[in-house]
Amino acid sequence: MTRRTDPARQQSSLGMPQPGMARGRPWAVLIVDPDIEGGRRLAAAIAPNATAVVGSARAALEAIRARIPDLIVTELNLPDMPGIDFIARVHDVPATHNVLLLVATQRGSVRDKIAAFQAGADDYLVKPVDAQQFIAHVQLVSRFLQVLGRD
Amino acid sequence: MAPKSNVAPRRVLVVDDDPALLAAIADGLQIVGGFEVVFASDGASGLERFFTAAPDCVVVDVRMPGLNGYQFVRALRGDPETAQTPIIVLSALVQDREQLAGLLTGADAYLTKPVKIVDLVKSIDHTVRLTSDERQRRVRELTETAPERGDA
Repeated sequence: MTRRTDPARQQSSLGMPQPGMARGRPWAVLIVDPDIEGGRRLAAAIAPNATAVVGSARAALEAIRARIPDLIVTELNLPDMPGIDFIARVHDVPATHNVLLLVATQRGSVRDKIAAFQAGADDYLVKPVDAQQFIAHVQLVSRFLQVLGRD
Repeated sequence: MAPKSNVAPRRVLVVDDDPALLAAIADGLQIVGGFEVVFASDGASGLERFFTAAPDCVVVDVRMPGLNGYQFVRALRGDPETAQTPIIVLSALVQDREQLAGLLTGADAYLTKPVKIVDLVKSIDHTVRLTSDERQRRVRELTETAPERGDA
């Protein structure tokens, strides 16, 4: 369904379209990255999406228990748990199985990419990630899942 | 047949888990297109092969064990070093929604099996000429009509 007047299509203060809308509101986005400042820069770029930035897997799992986000963006280098294990924990729980899960990481090896997808990541971005590229990837993978579903 | 490019010879990576089809396509691309062909039989080894072979274009199947074709394309598109790789999805999935989904991974073209070698050569010739601006424009077109989550 085309919604050209939808707020999701409006431009942010930075002149970029928003990643998406869910049931009439901007997406809730959870960014998991020990580089809190880097996470905040990404969060600022995608405002007014309601975005939380946390620095560890433990903090992320607590945040998810409090509120299930529409989109999780995670670094693989986490201080308290391998990023792949964090992805698997989110993906394997029914309540969060369908949450969009993107990796945005400094790690660019083939092994990491394969492991992340196999654990349940929907997309994999190697840093540096600019906001426009990030939003394009989110929109593509979101639309993909609407067209084809997760399986 | 498409006019031969004067930028040549080019190397094509074909990733498909059907050995008979792989052999046929490899022969066809070499004979008809004059390409050097390297291949892999699943997405994970295809990704490994990509980095050792440094191909000019990739032709990838969708349904494969381990890493499927959609994930393979996203893995390339998400890395600044490989984001502008010319990629063609070649699949037995013929429904409109399956073809749209293939393009929504970020692939440059979607061809269905069985494919005529001459058509695959044309598509490769076209795809290797795409610019990053053209790829960005395609992404904007594909996402412009994105509905909300939860509507489906």
